[in-house]
Amino acid sequence: MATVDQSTQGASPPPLSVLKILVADDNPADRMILGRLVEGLGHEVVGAEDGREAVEKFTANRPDLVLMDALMPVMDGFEAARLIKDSAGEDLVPIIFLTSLTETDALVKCLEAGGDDFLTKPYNPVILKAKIQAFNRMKEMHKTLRAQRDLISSQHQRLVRDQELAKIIFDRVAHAGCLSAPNLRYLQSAYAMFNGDILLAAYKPSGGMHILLGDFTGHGLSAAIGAMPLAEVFYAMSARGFNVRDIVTELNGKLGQILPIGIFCCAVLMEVNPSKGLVEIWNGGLPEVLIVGRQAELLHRIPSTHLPLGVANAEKFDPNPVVLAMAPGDRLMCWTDGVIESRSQSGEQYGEQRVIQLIDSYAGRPNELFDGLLRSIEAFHGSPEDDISLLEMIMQEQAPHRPAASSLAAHHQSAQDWQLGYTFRAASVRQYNPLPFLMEVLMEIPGLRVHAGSLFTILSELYSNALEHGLLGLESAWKRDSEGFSHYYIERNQRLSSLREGWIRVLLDHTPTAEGGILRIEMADSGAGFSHQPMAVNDGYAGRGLALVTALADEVTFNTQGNRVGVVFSW
Amino acid sequence: MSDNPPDLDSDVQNSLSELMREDYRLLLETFMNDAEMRLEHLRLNLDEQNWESFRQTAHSFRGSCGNMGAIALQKSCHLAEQAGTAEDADAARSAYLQLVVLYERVETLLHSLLQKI
Repeated sequence: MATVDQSTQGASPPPLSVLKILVADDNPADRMILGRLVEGLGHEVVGAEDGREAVEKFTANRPDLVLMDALMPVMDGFEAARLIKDSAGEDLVPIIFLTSLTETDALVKCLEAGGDDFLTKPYNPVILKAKIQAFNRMKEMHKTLRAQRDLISSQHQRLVRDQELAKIIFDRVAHAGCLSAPNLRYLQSAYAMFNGDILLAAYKPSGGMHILLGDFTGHGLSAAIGAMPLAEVFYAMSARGFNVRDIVTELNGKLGQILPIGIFCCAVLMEVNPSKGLVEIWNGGLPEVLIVGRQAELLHRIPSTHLPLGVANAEKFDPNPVVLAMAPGDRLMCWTDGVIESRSQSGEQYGEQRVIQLIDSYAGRPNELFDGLLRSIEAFHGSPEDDISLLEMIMQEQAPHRPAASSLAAHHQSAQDWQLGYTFRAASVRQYNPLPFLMEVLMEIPGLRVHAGSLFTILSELYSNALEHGLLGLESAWKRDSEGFSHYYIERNQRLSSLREGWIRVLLDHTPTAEGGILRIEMADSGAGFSHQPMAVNDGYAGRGLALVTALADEVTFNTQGNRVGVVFSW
Repeated sequence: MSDNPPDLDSDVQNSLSELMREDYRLLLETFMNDAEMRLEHLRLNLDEQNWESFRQTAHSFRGSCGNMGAIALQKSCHLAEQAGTAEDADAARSAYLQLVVLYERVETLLHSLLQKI
């Protein structure tokens, strides 16, 4: 403990920080003594003779601490204290009143006027030193607190700016697609997006659309970052005519490559094909996808049967979707686990059972289902749930939109008079979808680009006929009802993965004419031909593909054996 | 004044001498100038019956007397302050006269201290 002698002789070590201290006292002898005491403690003194001078000196010198007599001429210490506190603003400037006052009321008045403490005359150097140190600690603490508050506030502002920026980029990515299509309805809360939810939709070149609903693990902006490559791959591949298997395989590989361990993406990828009344659904880790009929009756529940994207390596990954028939007016609904895991005040989860019950209660009113579900979740949760992504897709009568393929290459002179033959053997057929490649070849002819949708449809129908009926020997008759339908596609996947022999040959032949050109497409396969396995044209689902081709092409011919088909398309 | 306090506490003066060092002389002179000014003020306030000013001046003087160790003066200042608050002319006059007498003694003591420096 410092004694009077030590502090007055400057024998004690200098204080950690030198403070600037305003000493305001109208009594010159007192001012001299106090000034010298303060200097003796190692601090810098600014003197003032009255209240007004104290305020002026405060403004000019911004001292750290004020020692001020309460009773002074011109302006008393109380008034000066108020002005000094005003002038200090957010800075903590402790004011210690100097007083010979001993009455309780007078001391209280010192504190009420904004004083932080008082020091009675005659001065006791030990107490003076202790008080200066105490207030300096308080001031340092205040400064630290304020600096940390400012830091938090500035980091928060930056976070908000980052999120706003990310939202702009996100919106642009999402809006590059066709989420605004009339048969789609969705809700995606901003909070859900930053929890890593993503919803994408794109028209396929042949009509119909691809839809992806994804939910990345983790929270915050980092969970959302994976959405960017996901969206990029999804749009690029969908535009180039790849199917669900291709896209989901590529997404899985890409995410597996770039996402750190523990981060992956639960997703549903769908291909909607109104012209054939089909939907293909690949569900990896998201809640059940539901399909309801025109009376809101529950038709299908499609649970997750795959690992989320970015988990399985290429060999173990199963890209095969569930294929289901959907009649016009049927509704498909899917959501991220925010819906199922929404909790009530008591912590209970909403759960799938409640969703199923809710659908029952909307029997005959399918239009109200979407809003009804939202209201139900809100009522359950107690407030609007801000962490859900919800999508409803209504099956349409036929493809709503057949955009031309987006500009694939700059306009340049290209060969127009050529023939190209390509044979895909078993190993290629198993693993490779040749359609995007064939389309790119055709799109080299600028005049064909506006017909991209039709050509893609023709090629994909011919190819799937050659593959499914020719090579895999599947019976189209199976596809007459929805049970046979799923049997058909399960069988398709099994037979395809064990395919070891056979081939599909594609011949493309283009000759220019004065107005445009003539494209001949020949698709042959090593199968037995439909003469042995009659195709029931225009019968149920089965014949739809060829009916469509017939409608789009100028001429469709078959060889007698029924394993080679020729199509002429003039433009 | 029954307990007869000392006119000047020599311990306080020793401490001040150590604290102020080369400025000790200046401190004593400053105190004496200030004290004469305060006494003059008190006399004027008394003539004018300006009790608020009388009280304030006595209060301020009390503060510096305390710091100087002029304990008898400090106590009389307190009496003067109380008289000012009470607006008691007789008590005020009596306190003032006491201050004059006491200050003369203190001044003598301080002058002798000054000569020793």
